[in-house]
Amino acid sequence: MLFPTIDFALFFGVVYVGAWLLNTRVVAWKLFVLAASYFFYAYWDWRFCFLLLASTLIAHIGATGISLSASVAARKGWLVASLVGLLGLLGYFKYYGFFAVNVDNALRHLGMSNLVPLLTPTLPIAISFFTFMAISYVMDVYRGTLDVATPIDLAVYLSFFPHLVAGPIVRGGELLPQIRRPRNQDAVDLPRAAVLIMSGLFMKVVISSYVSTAIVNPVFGAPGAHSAPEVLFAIWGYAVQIYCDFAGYTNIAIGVALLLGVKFPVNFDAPYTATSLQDFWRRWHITLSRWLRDYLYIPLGGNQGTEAQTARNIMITMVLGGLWHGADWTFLAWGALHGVGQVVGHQRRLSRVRRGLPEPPNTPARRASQRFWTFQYVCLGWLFFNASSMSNAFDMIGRLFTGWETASPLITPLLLATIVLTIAAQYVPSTFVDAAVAWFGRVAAPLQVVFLGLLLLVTTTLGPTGIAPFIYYRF
Amino acid sequence: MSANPSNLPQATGTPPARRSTRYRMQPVWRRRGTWQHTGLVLLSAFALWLIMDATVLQHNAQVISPVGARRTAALRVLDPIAALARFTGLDLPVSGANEALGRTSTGGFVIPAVPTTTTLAKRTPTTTTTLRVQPTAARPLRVLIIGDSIGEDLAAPLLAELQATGVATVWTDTRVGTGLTRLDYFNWVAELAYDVHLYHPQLIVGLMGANDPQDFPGPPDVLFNTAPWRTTYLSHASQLFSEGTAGGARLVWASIPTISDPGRDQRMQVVRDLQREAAAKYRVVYVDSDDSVAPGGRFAAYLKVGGQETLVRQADGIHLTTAGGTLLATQIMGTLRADLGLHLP
Repeated sequence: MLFPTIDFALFFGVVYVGAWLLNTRVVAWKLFVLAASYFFYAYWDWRFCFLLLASTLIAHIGATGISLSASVAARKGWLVASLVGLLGLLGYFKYYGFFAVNVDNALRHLGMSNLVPLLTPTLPIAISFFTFMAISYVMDVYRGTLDVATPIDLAVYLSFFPHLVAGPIVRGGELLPQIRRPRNQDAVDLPRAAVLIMSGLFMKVVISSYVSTAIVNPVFGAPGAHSAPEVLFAIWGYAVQIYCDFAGYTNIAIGVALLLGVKFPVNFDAPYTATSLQDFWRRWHITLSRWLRDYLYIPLGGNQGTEAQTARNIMITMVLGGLWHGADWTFLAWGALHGVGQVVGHQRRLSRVRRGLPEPPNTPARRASQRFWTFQYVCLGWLFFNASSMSNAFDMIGRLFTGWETASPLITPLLLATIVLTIAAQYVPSTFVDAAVAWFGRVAAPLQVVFLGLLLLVTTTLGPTGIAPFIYYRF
Repeated sequence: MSANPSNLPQATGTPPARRSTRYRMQPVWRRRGTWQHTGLVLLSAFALWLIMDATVLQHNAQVISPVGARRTAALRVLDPIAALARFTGLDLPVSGANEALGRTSTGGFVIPAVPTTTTLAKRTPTTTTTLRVQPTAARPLRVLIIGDSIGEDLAAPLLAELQATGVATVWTDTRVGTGLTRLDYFNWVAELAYDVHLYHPQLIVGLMGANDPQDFPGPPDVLFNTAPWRTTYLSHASQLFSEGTAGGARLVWASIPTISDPGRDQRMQVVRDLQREAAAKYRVVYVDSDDSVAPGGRFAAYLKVGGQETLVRQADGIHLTTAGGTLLATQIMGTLRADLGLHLP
């Protein structure tokens, strides 16, 4: 069940009323929300529910084992066992096919064949998201920063439907306390939720869908048939598409949770205004960035070792971050590009410090230049991210050098305006959004009704017939 | 635009520690309401949208939803609401906007009619399969590729292969979620007629049908694979092939390759058989896609390509990966050379 559907609207109507009626009966609320979340997940394929249940059980058994163990070795043993279990499920369903075919082809060169069975397990939706949440829970219990949750609390935490399909990756410390106590039923933040949901719907249904059909899909599908400017705009267009798709989804998720009285962490903060790759990762998919930082980069040693070790840690983190998005060489290349970019940036900063050079003056021109080049580098990464194969990515790049003589009918004023305005909108200060929220909160209820109804109407009318699934739900 | 929920005051009734001017003007505790109040606002807004958009929703339920209980229930709810919207004129803003956006008033596809004065002279289908004139760079072969989503999987690699010859000009027209059963949703016969009028293709390559094993909506509904269903589907396929070949173009039609689910594949076989029957009537060159992507009629997710095991089917067991699409495109290129006698470099 995707958010921008009638099915979800009806589902949410029932859940909204049920959840608030049961708000003060804590156990009943949890059971109701748990049932609703599993129903939401089963709507795709009921068999996936067993996987979600298995991840919950593994995380619960692991965390309980850790908390009951007296010795460090035993605690570590429980941690490793639960990580192996959780990553094993993820590995089998998401990566088995990719690794099997590559291993098989490598062995073939050594004269060995058919040693690895080539299977194509169905990829359960959102497996990467709930696996990472389960891992963070077990790790937090191991580190002593989180108490063991009851099985039902843990099950609600992992399956809570607003974040289930595509995040944000909420930590146990953020969500568990909110599901253990009743939420304030006299203080539902409709203005904030409305702004988030309506902006998210518009981003996903109108902007993302339009850009993908107007230029991204045709050009990535057949780069040879398009001009170099069209290829360039398709890459920039994809930057807009994926941002609107994912940030739009996240906005809806955060807004839906708010309507149930639950707060989620921020996941995007104007990422295309970043002045460096490091800055970009502080603004893009923030909950994944901090997960990778806290549960991978820092345990690897972070920046506490030698320069080479720091570079290695950055590369491992970014490449695995790339692989998290999908089992393909293109995702690996995307992660590696971000890793290399960050290592180079890190080295440049260190080199300046070593030579005793002062930090260059932070002028508007310098910031504009940094933003421009960071965006172009991020777009280079998106090219690999969206390419159907490495050869498709190189075809796109090749076309940039050879396709200048042909016409560019796909670049229309509307497309140009959409790309420019979406990126420009990231420079709108957050106080503007706050002002919009405050204004919406002040107007009378009938006006709120008219305003929301008409915004919904504009969104559905400008959107295409049928809704393409969110890009990120596949991960 | 990013909306940052962390800027929210954390507790109701307590002003935030640092407030913007706006917050100072309007205390934060006035921004929130009870869950009943919020629910009422949301429900009212939804109802307003539902009435104003009812004619579009009704149209979608009619032409997009497969025949079944869900469609019937949706129409039972939407029919009176749409009637109310039409009666009160509340549907006018949306119908006006849809027409301005180049759709029907209820959001459907508008396929331009072919002007009668410029309709190509209908020719009797040729009895030979070869094209009369060999393409050159100066006089390239005009090719149109049509299809549904699986046709899209073929279109990109076939387009690349044809363009690589240097003697072909290629257009593609693929529509996700379409087919030959639900012409009420998207009329491929009219679309192809318009494409032919627009591009004057000498060669048309088509692949569609994965969405076709479904009932025809009534009343009365015509159930899949009954005799009347087969007659109607055959007629749809025949109309399409007739339209494609009427102007003298050669039509190459690829079958839906074997899919992973045996039960669904059995239903798909009905579609394949009827398409093949129609193809025979109009001297359409019928390509069995299984020859390249499902050898022996057995579904295979992986096939050996250039000595390497390669994933050729997508996870749904229906669609083709880029590698699978390329395999099928190569097969079709072979057909163009062998069966149509085209000299393609």
